[in-house]
Amino acid sequence: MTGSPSAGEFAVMDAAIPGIAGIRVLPDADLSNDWASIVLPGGMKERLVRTVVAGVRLRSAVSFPELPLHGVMLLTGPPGTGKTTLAKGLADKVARTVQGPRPWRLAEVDPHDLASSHLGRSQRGVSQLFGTVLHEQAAGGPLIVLFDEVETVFTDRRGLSLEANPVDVHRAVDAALVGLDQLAQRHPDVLILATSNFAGVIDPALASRADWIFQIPLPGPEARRAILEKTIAAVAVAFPGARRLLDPAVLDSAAAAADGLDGRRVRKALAAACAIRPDGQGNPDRVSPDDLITAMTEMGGQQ
Amino acid sequence: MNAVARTVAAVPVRTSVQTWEAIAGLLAPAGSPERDRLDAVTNIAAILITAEYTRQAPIVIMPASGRRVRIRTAHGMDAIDALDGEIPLAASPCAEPGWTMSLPCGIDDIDEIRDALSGHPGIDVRDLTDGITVEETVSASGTAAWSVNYDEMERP
Repeated sequence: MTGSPSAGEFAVMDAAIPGIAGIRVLPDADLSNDWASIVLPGGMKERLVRTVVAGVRLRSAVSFPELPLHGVMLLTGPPGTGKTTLAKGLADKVARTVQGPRPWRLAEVDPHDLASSHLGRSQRGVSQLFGTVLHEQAAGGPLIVLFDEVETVFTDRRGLSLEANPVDVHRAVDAALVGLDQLAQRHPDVLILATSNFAGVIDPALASRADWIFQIPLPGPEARRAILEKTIAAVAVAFPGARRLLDPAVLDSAAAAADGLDGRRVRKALAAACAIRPDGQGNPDRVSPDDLITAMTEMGGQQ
Repeated sequence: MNAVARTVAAVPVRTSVQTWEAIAGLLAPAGSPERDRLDAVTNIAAILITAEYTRQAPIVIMPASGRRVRIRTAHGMDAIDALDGEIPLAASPCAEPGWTMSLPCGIDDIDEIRDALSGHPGIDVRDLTDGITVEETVSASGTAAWSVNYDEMERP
């Protein structure tokens, strides 16, 4: 809430919760599709689920001082590898797998809502999030917190200059760490799924609190092929001519040409392929195998 | 954590009446019968806000179920700071009938305010120097008995 309130602006309850982009009850069919859409090296998704399940069981049975698990999973890796989609899908998968008397909910943190150029506001925003908002939400039942771009708040303090960066940033990181500790100790049924494209700039104090750190790699040949197959199959529902691209030999060649591309680029390649030739007319029905391979190469793939 | 605390910006950011409207907005949905009960005591509450009794001691709400809520008001420069820090409640504690409310008041005004509230059951006034006895409940957080669906866990 900003600005001068009027009599009609008193409905504080109707205002957005500071620092929170949204909260939804799990399981959620859309997120289930997210989980299915993510392709990772063999067994990695299953291991992620088992890891979280183990954490939930351990934290509910063993006290924090004896086993200091914070319930924080950190997913790092290059952009476009599906970390956010994976985290949302994992939240849904956990809710379907581990059930208690109350439903799980997913709270998505808006990290950019926490940062402010005004002295003191970043710290206050972070303190409010960890000290008030998440505690209250956690009191309502098991909670999974998705903290995307976590480096935005948990910036490595060693890389900050007190001359160039306001002390507010340092205090905000301190507040976040203190809040994280309190949250972990008071609410063992809170999980935090954090993602970052820049693992190197995350404060080491957060990394040390993370119970599990998973590096999400660029997709390998099999993953690229699977991503392509899913994408083409989805497009072919509306544009049947694209079915020719599902030929195994075409998929193999295109997946090879996509070496070095992240999953997002691989998916976008089909759209780019529609514009390769003038007689393709921007029509997915008319995309040829060569168009697809050319698009992969132009997007940076290395055959 | 059996209590939820909030601070609402008051004078000069809001008038005392607007401040009570903001508080009522936190507690019950607009247009509901329970909100009407809160709106009915606007003038009385505004007196307490103007006198800054709600700055010195909290308004305490005991919901029919769930955690109690304590609301203070911020005045002067503190009100300007508090405006940006206002956070909505996760649930409306007065949405369902059965809630009670205790308003803080100075000893000089307490008899008059108590008389004014006599027609408003469930809403009471107390000496702001008095505490409130509450029944503590054990938090359910972290005590959940989990069941694991192994078929779901292994499903790709």
